[in-house]
Amino acid sequence: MSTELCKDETNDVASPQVAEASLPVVKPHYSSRYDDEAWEVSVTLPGVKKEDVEVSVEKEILDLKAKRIFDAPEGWRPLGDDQSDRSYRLRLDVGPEVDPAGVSAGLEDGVLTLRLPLREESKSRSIEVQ
Amino acid sequence: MKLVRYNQTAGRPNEWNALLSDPFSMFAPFFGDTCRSSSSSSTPSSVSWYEDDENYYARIEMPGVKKENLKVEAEEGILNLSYETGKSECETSGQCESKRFSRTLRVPEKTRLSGIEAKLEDGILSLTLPKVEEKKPVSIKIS
Repeated sequence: MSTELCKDETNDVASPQVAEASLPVVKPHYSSRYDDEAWEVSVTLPGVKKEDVEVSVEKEILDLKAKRIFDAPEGWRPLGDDQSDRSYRLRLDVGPEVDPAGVSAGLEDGVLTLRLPLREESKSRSIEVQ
Repeated sequence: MKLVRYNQTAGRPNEWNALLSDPFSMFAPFFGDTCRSSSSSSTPSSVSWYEDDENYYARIEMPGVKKENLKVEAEEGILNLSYETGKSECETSGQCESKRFSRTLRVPEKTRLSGIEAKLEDGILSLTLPKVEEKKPVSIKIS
């Protein structure tokens, strides 16, 4: 397995198909690590609700879309530029090793953790030295 | 004998530089990372301010921060937010140095510091800062 997960494809998107076209599109911070079984990618999405996150893996590309809309209570007046509302978009080349069917995701405290399991044939094996 | 996957850490960015350019990006849990997105490609964690007739309101991005590890202190027009990674978090991330971060925030002059309320939800710290009641003129009846 290679360490090519980090190839960032976000900027290759010609026109992001995000749900809210009027929102500014921001690339979220992320970090990744791997073990023998899977890649784990951690993406910071503060203020984003579970129902506003969409993750797909297609043609070896992980595509994450999310949006954050803050409905300010009545009577609240913004002071300065209000940049609360935004779309997040992240595209990562996960390579052929990842099994798209097994991808799982959890959102906690504004951090989305994605677990991308490796295909059986891509997992590392111990080799007995004779 | 085992073949062990090479764990690439050489390309890791300087954490202090990241801290200086975007202090709160360091709140994100990170691992023995092989890559991180650069701060420049994303908006730095932001603070949004609002007000109504009674209060000021601040919404501060703090992804990955747990309520029990966050301390908010107010004094003389300044709000100090400090955060320390707890032991359980350090066990999860596999990095067992505890980390401390802090940030100060200037609060509006008319804030009544004793009445500030804070709530942490979905990685956003929401603060309600009551305004000091202005002294209204009292009308005096002329007899």
